[in-house]
Amino acid sequence: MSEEDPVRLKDDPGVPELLRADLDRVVSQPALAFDVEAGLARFRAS
Amino acid sequence: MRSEHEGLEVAPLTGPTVGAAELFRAHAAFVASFVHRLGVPERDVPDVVQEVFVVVHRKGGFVMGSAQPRTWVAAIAVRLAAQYRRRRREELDGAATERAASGGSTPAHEAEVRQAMARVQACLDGLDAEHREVFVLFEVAGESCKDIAEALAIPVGTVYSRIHHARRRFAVEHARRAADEVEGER
Repeated sequence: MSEEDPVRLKDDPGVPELLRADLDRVVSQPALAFDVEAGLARFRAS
Repeated sequence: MRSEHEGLEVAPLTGPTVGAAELFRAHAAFVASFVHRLGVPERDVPDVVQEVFVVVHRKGGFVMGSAQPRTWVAAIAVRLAAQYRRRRREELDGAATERAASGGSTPAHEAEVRQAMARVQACLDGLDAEHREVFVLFEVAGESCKDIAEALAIPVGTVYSRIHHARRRFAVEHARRAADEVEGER
């Protein structure tokens, strides 16, 4: 993040707690398992 | 007739390119998790990932320059995830959080995550495309304003302005929904 960028809402204590918590829950979702090789094969076949 | 992918303008192409297949290998896993966080159900994520890289291919790949390829691909993904949600809105109540619901440690946590995702998606749906795009890239994808500006080929000041307006609208809608939920519980 550059020095000029605003603080992200989920990290801003001036933002309502529920809004920060909601964004944090969305951002913190664990990564989805995705088969890149299978997807790439499908992409190349399309 | 409007193209399905109309409005997917990103930075113009001017230099050596990285092909769609190479970009797929490098960024498809990121795109998959990203569009899922944007409300695409797990079962449909592979289709949306395909759509993203078809657009990448049609654009001739990514041109090496000041923009970051991940941000450039993410900008396309934001638009396509929103288009997906518009097409499937009536089917999506609760479906987008099916994996979130199974990934929590307790039923209470799972419910909190489901509610959080539903509120965030509803607030994002209320933003227009250009505001949603920068808001999601900054607040959800964690991209810098400089990278967003370069990926979208817009001044960084425009990014700041769009984030400011998007945040204001997002916060108003979020507060309204939270108040409605409290009222509904009484």
